[in-house]
Amino acid sequence: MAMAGNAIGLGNFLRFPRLAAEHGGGAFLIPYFVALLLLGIPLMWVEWTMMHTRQFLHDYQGVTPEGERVYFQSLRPAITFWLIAVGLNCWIISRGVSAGIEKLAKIAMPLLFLFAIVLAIRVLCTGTPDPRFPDRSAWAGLNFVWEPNFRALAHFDVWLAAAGQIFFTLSIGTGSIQCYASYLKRDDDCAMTGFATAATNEFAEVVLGGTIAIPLAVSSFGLAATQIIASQGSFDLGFVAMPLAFEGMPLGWLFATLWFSLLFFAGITSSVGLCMPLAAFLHEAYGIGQKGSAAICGAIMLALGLPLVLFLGHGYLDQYDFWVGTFGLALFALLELICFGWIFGRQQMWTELQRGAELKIPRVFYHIIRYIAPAYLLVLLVGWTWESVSKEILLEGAPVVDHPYLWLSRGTIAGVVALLGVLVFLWSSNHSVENEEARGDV
Amino acid sequence: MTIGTLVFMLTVWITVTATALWSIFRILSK
Repeated sequence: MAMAGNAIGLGNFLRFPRLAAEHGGGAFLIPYFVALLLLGIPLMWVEWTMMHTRQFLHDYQGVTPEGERVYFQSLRPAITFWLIAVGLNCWIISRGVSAGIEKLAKIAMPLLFLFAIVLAIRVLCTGTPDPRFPDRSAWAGLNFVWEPNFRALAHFDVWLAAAGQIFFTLSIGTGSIQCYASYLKRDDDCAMTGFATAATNEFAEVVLGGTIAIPLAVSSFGLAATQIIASQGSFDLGFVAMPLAFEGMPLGWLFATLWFSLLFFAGITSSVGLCMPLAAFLHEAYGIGQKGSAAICGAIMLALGLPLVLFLGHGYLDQYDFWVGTFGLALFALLELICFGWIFGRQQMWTELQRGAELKIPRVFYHIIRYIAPAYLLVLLVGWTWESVSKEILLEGAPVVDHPYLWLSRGTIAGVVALLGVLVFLWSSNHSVENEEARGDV
Repeated sequence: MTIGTLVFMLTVWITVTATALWSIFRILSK
Protein backbone atom coordinates (compact mmCIF):
# COMPACT_ATOMS: atom_id res chain seq x y z
CA MET A 1 0.00 0.00 0.00
CA ALA A 2 2.81 2.39 0.90
CA MET A 3 4.64 1.61 -2.34
CA ALA A 4 1.46 2.13 -4.37
CA GLY A 5 1.06 5.45 -2.58
CA ASN A 6 4.57 6.37 -3.54
CA ALA A 7 4.09 5.38 -7.17
CA ILE A 8 0.64 6.90 -7.67
CA GLY A 9 1.08 10.64 -7.68
CA LEU A 10 0.60 13.82 -9.66
CA GLY A 11 2.29 12.07 -12.58
CA ASN A 12 -0.75 9.82 -12.98
CA PHE A 13 -3.39 12.52 -13.02
CA LEU A 14 -1.53 15.54 -14.46
CA ARG A 15 1.75 14.61 -16.13
CA PHE A 16 0.49 11.58 -18.06
CA PRO A 17 -2.57 13.26 -19.67
CA ARG A 18 -0.50 16.36 -20.43
CA LEU A 19 2.24 14.34 -22.15
CA ALA A 20 -0.30 12.27 -24.05
CA ALA A 21 -1.94 15.48 -25.29
CA GLU A 22 1.40 17.07 -26.14
CA HIS A 23 2.86 14.10 -28.01
CA GLY A 24 0.18 13.14 -30.49
CA GLY A 25 -2.58 11.69 -28.32
CA GLY A 26 -2.92 7.95 -28.84
CA ALA A 27 0.47 7.70 -30.56
CA PHE A 28 2.09 8.43 -27.22
CA LEU A 29 0.54 5.29 -25.78
CA ILE A 30 2.51 3.05 -28.13
CA PRO A 31 5.99 4.07 -26.92
CA TYR A 32 4.47 4.32 -23.46
CA PHE A 33 3.42 0.66 -23.36
CA VAL A 34 6.61 -0.44 -25.09
CA ALA A 35 8.55 1.39 -22.35
CA LEU A 36 6.34 -0.17 -19.67
CA LEU A 37 7.06 -3.71 -20.88
CA LEU A 38 10.71 -3.31 -21.80
CA LEU A 39 11.80 -0.84 -19.13
CA GLY A 40 9.17 -0.20 -16.43
CA ILE A 41 8.35 -3.72 -15.26
CA PRO A 42 11.92 -5.11 -15.60
CA LEU A 43 13.36 -2.12 -13.74
CA MET A 44 10.68 -2.41 -11.09
CA TRP A 45 11.88 -5.97 -10.46
CA VAL A 46 15.51 -4.89 -10.61
CA GLU A 47 14.99 -2.16 -8.00
CA TRP A 48 12.95 -4.35 -5.67
CA THR A 49 15.50 -7.15 -5.91
CA MET A 50 18.55 -4.93 -5.76
CA MET A 51 17.84 -3.76 -2.27
CA HIS A 52 15.76 -6.34 -0.46
CA THR A 53 18.82 -8.50 -0.05
CA ARG A 54 20.50 -5.76 1.95
CA GLN A 55 18.99 -4.12 5.00
CA PHE A 56 20.87 -0.88 5.03
CA LEU A 57 18.10 1.65 5.07
CA HIS A 58 15.66 2.44 7.79
CA ASP A 59 12.59 4.43 8.60
CA TYR A 60 11.77 7.40 6.51
CA GLN A 61 10.54 9.72 3.62
CA GLY A 62 9.78 13.34 1.97
CA VAL A 63 8.98 15.60 -1.30
CA THR A 64 8.14 18.47 -3.64
CA PRO A 65 4.94 20.28 -2.91
CA GLU A 66 5.61 22.87 -5.53
CA GLY A 67 2.12 22.74 -7.07
CA GLU A 68 -0.91 24.79 -6.52
CA ARG A 69 0.40 28.24 -7.45
CA VAL A 70 -1.47 28.87 -10.67
CA TYR A 71 -4.79 28.01 -9.15
CA PHE A 72 -4.48 30.61 -6.44
CA GLN A 73 -5.10 34.23 -7.25
CA SER A 74 -2.12 35.51 -5.30
CA LEU A 75 1.14 34.17 -3.94
CA ARG A 76 0.24 34.49 -0.26
CA PRO A 77 -2.24 31.60 -0.08
CA ALA A 78 -0.02 29.56 -2.41
CA ILE A 79 3.00 29.97 -0.16
CA THR A 80 0.90 29.36 2.96
CA PHE A 81 -0.44 26.13 1.48
CA TRP A 82 3.04 25.12 0.41
CA LEU A 83 4.49 25.77 3.89
CA ILE A 84 1.72 23.65 5.43
CA ALA A 85 2.48 20.88 2.94
CA VAL A 86 6.22 21.04 3.74
CA GLY A 87 5.42 20.90 7.47
CA LEU A 88 3.13 17.94 6.94
CA ASN A 89 5.79 16.15 4.92
CA CYS A 90 8.39 16.71 7.64
CA TRP A 91 6.03 15.46 10.31
CA ILE A 92 5.25 12.27 8.38
CA ILE A 93 8.94 11.66 7.59
CA SER A 94 9.90 12.17 11.23
CA ARG A 95 7.42 9.47 12.28
CA GLY A 96 9.11 6.91 10.06
CA VAL A 97 7.74 4.29 7.70
CA SER A 98 5.41 2.31 9.96
CA ALA A 99 3.90 5.09 12.06
CA GLY A 100 3.99 7.77 9.35
CA ILE A 101 4.04 6.61 5.76
CA GLU A 102 2.14 3.37 6.15
CA LYS A 103 -0.66 5.03 8.12
CA LEU A 104 -0.88 7.84 5.59
CA ALA A 105 -1.08 5.35 2.71
CA LYS A 106 -3.80 3.33 4.43
CA ILE A 107 -6.01 6.41 4.66
CA ALA A 108 -5.01 8.25 1.51
CA MET A 109 -4.93 5.46 -1.07
CA PRO A 110 -8.52 4.16 -0.72
CA LEU A 111 -9.77 7.76 -0.73
CA LEU A 112 -7.65 8.57 -3.77
CA PHE A 113 -9.10 5.64 -5.74
CA LEU A 114 -12.63 6.44 -4.59
CA PHE A 115 -12.36 10.08 -5.65
CA ALA A 116 -10.72 9.19 -8.96
CA ILE A 117 -13.39 6.61 -9.82
CA VAL A 118 -16.21 9.05 -8.93
CA LEU A 119 -14.59 11.77 -11.06
CA ALA A 120 -13.96 9.43 -14.00
CA ILE A 121 -17.60 8.30 -13.99
CA ARG A 122 -18.76 11.92 -13.75
CA VAL A 123 -16.56 12.91 -16.70
CA LEU A 124 -17.82 10.02 -18.81
CA CYS A 125 -21.39 11.14 -18.07
CA THR A 126 -20.65 14.74 -19.10
CA GLY A 127 -21.97 14.31 -22.63
CA THR A 128 -21.93 17.55 -24.60
CA PRO A 129 -22.22 20.32 -21.99
CA ASP A 130 -22.82 23.13 -24.49
CA PRO A 131 -25.18 22.23 -27.38
CA ARG A 132 -23.70 25.11 -29.42
CA PHE A 133 -20.46 23.14 -29.62
CA PRO A 134 -21.40 19.55 -30.43
CA ASP A 135 -17.74 18.58 -30.93
CA ARG A 136 -16.93 19.44 -27.31
CA SER A 137 -17.54 16.23 -25.39
CA ALA A 138 -15.73 13.88 -23.06
CA TRP A 139 -15.78 11.24 -25.80
CA ALA A 140 -14.00 13.63 -28.14
CA GLY A 141 -11.38 14.00 -25.41
CA LEU A 142 -11.08 10.24 -25.00
CA ASN A 143 -10.78 9.92 -28.75
CA PHE A 144 -7.93 12.42 -28.72
CA VAL A 145 -6.13 10.56 -25.96
CA TRP A 146 -6.54 7.15 -27.59
CA GLU A 147 -6.58 7.69 -31.37
CA PRO A 148 -3.11 6.80 -32.70
CA ASN A 149 -1.22 9.48 -34.60
CA PHE A 150 1.69 7.49 -35.95
CA ARG A 151 3.58 10.46 -37.34
CA ALA A 152 4.65 11.40 -33.81
CA LEU A 153 6.47 8.08 -33.45
CA ALA A 154 9.24 9.27 -35.77
CA HIS A 155 10.67 11.59 -33.11
CA PHE A 156 13.07 10.52 -30.38
CA ASP A 157 11.65 13.05 -27.95
CA VAL A 158 8.28 11.23 -27.96
CA TRP A 159 9.99 7.92 -27.13
CA LEU A 160 12.17 9.58 -24.49
CA ALA A 161 9.14 11.35 -22.99
CA ALA A 162 7.27 8.03 -22.83
CA ALA A 163 10.22 6.28 -21.16
CA GLY A 164 10.62 9.24 -18.78
CA GLN A 165 6.94 9.07 -17.89
CA ILE A 166 7.22 5.36 -17.11
CA PHE A 167 10.18 6.02 -14.79
CA PHE A 168 8.46 9.05 -13.26
CA THR A 169 5.16 7.32 -12.64
CA LEU A 170 6.66 4.10 -11.26
CA SER A 171 9.18 6.06 -9.15
CA ILE A 172 12.04 4.24 -10.86
CA GLY A 173 15.46 5.82 -10.55
CA THR A 174 14.50 7.94 -7.55
CA GLY A 175 15.80 5.53 -4.90
CA SER A 176 12.47 5.22 -3.11
CA ILE A 177 11.79 1.67 -4.30
CA GLN A 178 15.14 0.54 -2.92
CA CYS A 179 14.25 2.15 0.41
CA TYR A 180 10.96 0.27 0.62
CA ALA A 181 12.56 -2.93 -0.65
CA SER A 182 15.12 -2.84 2.15
CA TYR A 183 12.25 -3.62 4.55
CA LEU A 184 11.44 -6.91 2.84
CA LYS A 185 12.71 -10.16 4.25
CA ARG A 186 15.23 -12.13 2.21
CA ASP A 187 12.65 -14.58 0.85
CA ASP A 188 9.82 -12.12 0.30
CA ASP A 189 8.31 -12.06 -3.16
CA CYS A 190 9.85 -9.12 -5.03
CA ALA A 191 8.45 -10.22 -8.37
CA MET A 192 4.81 -10.08 -7.29
CA THR A 193 5.27 -6.96 -5.15
CA GLY A 194 6.89 -5.08 -8.02
CA PHE A 195 4.36 -6.32 -10.54
CA ALA A 196 1.38 -5.41 -8.32
CA THR A 197 2.79 -1.93 -7.74
CA ALA A 198 3.23 -1.39 -11.47
CA ALA A 199 -0.22 -2.79 -12.31
CA THR A 200 -2.01 -0.69 -9.67
CA ASN A 201 -0.16 2.39 -10.82
CA GLU A 202 -1.07 1.76 -14.46
CA PHE A 203 -4.73 1.37 -13.55
CA ALA A 204 -4.61 4.75 -11.79
CA GLU A 205 -2.77 6.35 -14.69
CA VAL A 206 -4.10 4.89 -17.93
CA VAL A 207 -7.67 4.11 -16.91
CA LEU A 208 -8.41 6.86 -14.37
CA GLY A 209 -5.80 9.55 -15.14
CA GLY A 210 -6.47 9.34 -18.87
CA THR A 211 -10.22 9.64 -18.34
CA ILE A 212 -10.40 12.72 -16.12
CA ALA A 213 -8.33 15.79 -17.05
CA ILE A 214 -8.09 15.76 -20.86
CA PRO A 215 -11.65 14.53 -21.61
CA LEU A 216 -13.11 17.08 -19.17
CA ALA A 217 -11.00 19.89 -20.60
CA VAL A 218 -12.02 18.97 -24.15
CA SER A 219 -15.70 18.87 -23.19
CA SER A 220 -15.40 22.32 -21.62
CA PHE A 221 -12.96 24.18 -23.86
CA GLY A 222 -12.70 22.18 -27.08
CA LEU A 223 -9.79 20.25 -28.51
CA ALA A 224 -7.67 23.14 -29.78
CA ALA A 225 -7.82 25.04 -26.48
CA THR A 226 -7.05 21.86 -24.52
CA GLN A 227 -3.92 21.29 -26.60
CA ILE A 228 -2.80 24.84 -25.86
CA ILE A 229 -3.49 24.42 -22.13
CA ALA A 230 -1.65 21.10 -22.08
CA SER A 231 1.34 22.60 -23.90
CA GLN A 232 1.62 25.19 -21.13
CA GLY A 233 2.25 22.53 -18.53
CA SER A 234 0.59 20.11 -16.15
CA PHE A 235 -0.25 22.75 -13.60
CA ASP A 236 -2.22 24.89 -16.01
CA LEU A 237 -4.22 21.81 -16.89
CA GLY A 238 -4.79 20.74 -13.30
CA PHE A 239 -5.07 24.03 -11.45
CA VAL A 240 -6.48 26.45 -14.00
CA ALA A 241 -8.46 24.49 -16.57
CA MET A 242 -9.99 21.93 -14.24
CA PRO A 243 -11.51 24.37 -11.70
CA LEU A 244 -13.03 26.31 -14.60
CA ALA A 245 -14.42 23.12 -16.08
CA PHE A 246 -15.93 22.08 -12.74
CA GLU A 247 -17.51 25.51 -12.33
CA GLY A 248 -19.65 24.88 -15.35
CA MET A 249 -21.27 21.68 -14.08
CA PRO A 250 -23.97 21.00 -11.46
CA LEU A 251 -22.44 20.38 -8.02
CA GLY A 252 -19.17 21.61 -9.52
CA TRP A 253 -17.86 22.62 -6.08
CA LEU A 254 -18.20 19.04 -4.92
CA PHE A 255 -16.27 17.62 -7.87
CA ALA A 256 -13.66 20.37 -7.62
CA THR A 257 -13.19 19.42 -3.96
CA LEU A 258 -12.80 15.77 -4.93
CA TRP A 259 -10.29 16.75 -7.64
CA PHE A 260 -8.08 18.80 -5.34
CA SER A 261 -8.33 16.23 -2.56
CA LEU A 262 -7.30 13.61 -5.08
CA LEU A 263 -4.28 15.68 -6.15
CA PHE A 264 -3.39 16.37 -2.54
CA PHE A 265 -3.42 12.70 -1.58
CA ALA A 266 -1.58 11.74 -4.76
CA GLY A 267 1.03 14.44 -4.11
CA ILE A 268 1.61 13.87 -0.42
CA THR A 269 1.95 10.07 -0.65
CA SER A 270 4.50 10.47 -3.43
CA SER A 271 6.32 13.40 -1.93
CA VAL A 272 7.09 11.66 1.34
CA GLY A 273 8.34 8.69 -0.68
CA LEU A 274 10.69 10.86 -2.71
CA CYS A 275 12.40 12.26 0.39
CA MET A 276 12.87 8.84 1.88
CA PRO A 277 16.21 8.07 0.19
CA LEU A 278 17.74 11.35 1.41
CA ALA A 279 16.40 11.00 4.95
CA ALA A 280 17.53 7.37 5.10
CA PHE A 281 20.96 8.32 3.74
CA LEU A 282 21.41 11.06 6.34
CA HIS A 283 20.30 8.66 9.05
CA GLU A 284 22.42 5.70 7.98
CA ALA A 285 25.52 7.46 6.69
CA TYR A 286 25.80 10.34 9.12
CA GLY A 287 23.90 9.00 12.13
CA ILE A 288 21.42 11.87 12.15
CA GLY A 289 18.20 11.01 14.02
CA GLN A 290 14.78 10.70 12.38
CA LYS A 291 13.63 14.14 13.48
CA GLY A 292 16.92 15.74 12.45
CA SER A 293 16.82 14.09 9.03
CA ALA A 294 13.21 15.17 8.58
CA ALA A 295 14.14 18.74 9.53
CA ILE A 296 17.01 18.77 7.02
CA CYS A 297 14.67 17.45 4.32
CA GLY A 298 12.24 20.24 5.23
CA ALA A 299 14.97 22.87 4.99
CA ILE A 300 16.02 21.55 1.57
CA MET A 301 12.38 21.53 0.44
CA LEU A 302 12.05 25.16 1.49
CA ALA A 303 15.30 26.20 -0.20
CA LEU A 304 14.61 24.35 -3.45
CA GLY A 305 10.85 24.72 -3.46
CA LEU A 306 10.52 28.47 -3.01
CA PRO A 307 11.95 29.34 -6.45
CA LEU A 308 9.60 26.75 -7.93
CA VAL A 309 6.63 28.52 -6.41
CA LEU A 310 7.86 32.00 -7.31
CA PHE A 311 9.12 31.31 -10.84
CA LEU A 312 6.63 28.67 -11.96
CA GLY A 313 5.35 30.93 -14.71
CA HIS A 314 8.85 31.28 -16.16
CA GLY A 315 9.26 27.57 -16.83
CA TYR A 316 11.50 27.02 -13.79
CA LEU A 317 9.75 23.74 -12.96
CA ASP A 318 9.87 22.53 -16.58
CA GLN A 319 13.67 22.39 -16.38
CA TYR A 320 13.44 20.18 -13.28
CA ASP A 321 10.79 18.13 -14.98
CA PHE A 322 12.89 17.48 -18.08
CA TRP A 323 16.45 17.20 -16.77
CA VAL A 324 15.52 15.32 -13.60
CA GLY A 325 12.13 13.76 -14.39
CA THR A 326 12.87 12.61 -17.93
CA PHE A 327 16.56 12.71 -18.91
CA GLY A 328 17.96 12.08 -15.41
CA LEU A 329 15.69 9.14 -14.66
CA ALA A 330 16.50 7.51 -18.00
CA LEU A 331 20.23 7.96 -17.34
CA PHE A 332 19.98 6.53 -13.82
CA ALA A 333 17.91 3.62 -15.06
CA LEU A 334 20.61 2.82 -17.63
CA LEU A 335 23.32 2.88 -14.96
CA GLU A 336 21.17 0.73 -12.72
CA LEU A 337 20.62 -1.87 -15.45
CA ILE A 338 24.35 -2.02 -16.16
CA CYS A 339 25.14 -2.45 -12.46
CA PHE A 340 22.48 -5.09 -11.87
CA GLY A 341 22.61 -7.02 -15.14
CA TRP A 342 26.35 -6.92 -15.78
CA ILE A 343 28.35 -6.03 -12.65
CA PHE A 344 26.20 -7.86 -10.08
CA GLY A 345 26.59 -11.10 -12.03
CA ARG A 346 24.10 -12.61 -14.46
CA GLN A 347 23.33 -15.80 -12.57
CA GLN A 348 23.17 -14.08 -9.20
CA MET A 349 20.87 -11.44 -10.69
CA TRP A 350 18.45 -14.03 -12.04
CA THR A 351 18.52 -16.09 -8.84
CA GLU A 352 17.74 -13.05 -6.69
CA LEU A 353 14.90 -12.02 -8.98
CA GLN A 354 13.29 -15.45 -8.60
CA ARG A 355 13.90 -15.86 -4.86
CA GLY A 356 10.62 -16.46 -3.05
CA ALA A 357 8.70 -15.54 -6.20
CA GLU A 358 5.22 -16.95 -6.49
CA LEU A 359 5.05 -15.21 -9.85
CA LYS A 360 7.43 -17.00 -12.19
CA ILE A 361 9.21 -14.40 -14.24
CA PRO A 362 9.43 -15.52 -17.88
CA ARG A 363 12.99 -16.19 -19.01
CA VAL A 364 12.66 -13.54 -21.71
CA PHE A 365 12.99 -10.89 -18.99
CA TYR A 366 16.51 -12.12 -18.30
CA HIS A 367 17.45 -11.05 -21.81
CA ILE A 368 15.39 -7.86 -21.52
CA ILE A 369 17.17 -6.80 -18.33
CA ARG A 370 20.62 -7.70 -19.64
CA TYR A 371 20.46 -6.66 -23.27
CA ILE A 372 17.24 -5.12 -24.56
CA ALA A 373 16.47 -2.54 -21.86
CA PRO A 374 20.02 -1.09 -21.69
CA ALA A 375 20.24 -1.02 -25.50
CA TYR A 376 16.80 0.61 -25.71
CA LEU A 377 17.80 3.32 -23.24
CA LEU A 378 21.15 3.85 -24.90
CA VAL A 379 19.52 4.30 -28.31
CA LEU A 380 16.97 6.70 -26.81
CA LEU A 381 19.58 8.81 -25.05
CA VAL A 382 21.98 8.88 -27.99
CA GLY A 383 19.16 9.50 -30.46
CA TRP A 384 17.70 12.29 -28.39
CA THR A 385 21.15 13.85 -27.93
CA TRP A 386 21.73 13.77 -31.68
CA GLU A 387 18.28 15.12 -32.49
CA SER A 388 17.54 17.65 -29.75
CA VAL A 389 20.36 18.31 -27.32
CA SER A 390 21.53 21.59 -28.85
CA LYS A 391 17.96 22.84 -29.13
CA GLU A 392 17.31 21.94 -25.51
CA ILE A 393 20.54 23.32 -24.09
CA LEU A 394 20.34 26.58 -26.04
CA LEU A 395 16.72 27.00 -24.88
CA GLU A 396 15.40 27.38 -28.39
CA GLY A 397 11.76 28.40 -28.34
CA ALA A 398 11.84 29.69 -24.75
CA PRO A 399 11.15 33.42 -24.32
CA VAL A 400 14.40 35.34 -23.82
CA VAL A 401 12.98 36.95 -20.67
CA ASP A 402 12.74 33.49 -19.10
CA HIS A 403 16.33 32.47 -19.84
CA PRO A 404 17.83 33.66 -16.49
CA TYR A 405 15.19 31.66 -14.58
CA LEU A 406 15.82 28.58 -16.68
CA TRP A 407 19.58 28.79 -16.18
CA LEU A 408 19.03 29.33 -12.46
CA SER A 409 16.93 26.18 -12.44
CA ARG A 410 19.68 24.23 -14.21
CA GLY A 411 22.31 25.65 -11.87
CA THR A 412 20.26 24.52 -8.91
CA ILE A 413 19.99 20.99 -10.30
CA ALA A 414 23.75 20.89 -10.91
CA GLY A 415 24.39 22.24 -7.40
CA VAL A 416 22.19 19.60 -5.79
CA VAL A 417 23.83 16.80 -7.77
CA ALA A 418 27.30 18.11 -6.82
CA LEU A 419 26.33 18.41 -3.14
CA LEU A 420 24.96 14.87 -3.05
CA GLY A 421 28.10 13.66 -4.78
CA VAL A 422 30.27 15.29 -2.11
CA LEU A 423 28.13 13.81 0.70
CA VAL A 424 28.34 10.33 -0.80
CA PHE A 425 32.10 10.71 -1.39
CA LEU A 426 32.71 11.82 2.21
CA TRP A 427 30.64 8.99 3.58
CA SER A 428 32.35 6.53 1.28
CA SER A 429 35.83 7.73 2.33
CA ASN A 430 34.99 7.50 6.05
CA HIS A 431 33.39 4.12 5.52
CA SER A 432 36.55 2.78 3.83
CA VAL A 433 38.74 4.10 6.65
CA GLU A 434 36.46 2.48 9.26
CA ASN A 435 36.56 -0.82 7.40
CA GLU A 436 40.36 -0.74 7.19
CA GLU A 437 40.60 0.06 10.91
CA ALA A 438 38.21 -2.78 11.70
CA ARG A 439 40.35 -5.17 9.62
CA GLY A 440 43.47 -3.88 11.38
CA ASP A 441 41.93 -4.60 14.79
CA VAL A 442 41.14 -8.15 13.74
CA MET B 1 -14.55 7.89 -32.01
CA THR B 2 -13.89 5.14 -34.50
CA ILE B 3 -14.63 1.51 -33.72
CA GLY B 4 -10.92 0.73 -33.91
CA THR B 5 -10.02 3.38 -31.34
CA LEU B 6 -12.85 2.28 -29.06
CA VAL B 7 -11.75 -1.35 -29.22
CA PHE B 8 -8.13 -0.33 -28.56
CA MET B 9 -9.15 1.78 -25.56
CA LEU B 10 -11.48 -0.83 -24.05
CA THR B 11 -8.93 -3.60 -24.56
CA VAL B 12 -6.29 -1.62 -22.69
CA TRP B 13 -8.74 -0.62 -19.95
CA ILE B 14 -9.91 -4.18 -19.37
CA THR B 15 -6.40 -5.64 -19.52
CA VAL B 16 -4.92 -3.06 -17.13
CA THR B 17 -7.84 -3.26 -14.69
CA ALA B 18 -7.90 -7.06 -14.67
CA THR B 19 -4.12 -7.23 -14.17
CA ALA B 20 -4.24 -4.76 -11.29
CA LEU B 21 -7.11 -6.59 -9.57
CA TRP B 22 -5.47 -10.00 -10.10
CA SER B 23 -2.14 -8.88 -8.64
CA ILE B 24 -3.78 -7.18 -5.65
CA PHE B 25 -5.86 -10.27 -4.85
CA ARG B 26 -2.79 -12.50 -5.19
CA ILE B 27 -0.92 -10.36 -2.67
CA LEU B 28 -3.87 -10.08 -0.28
CA SER B 29 -4.59 -13.80 -0.40
CA LYS B 30 -1.09 -14.71 0.86
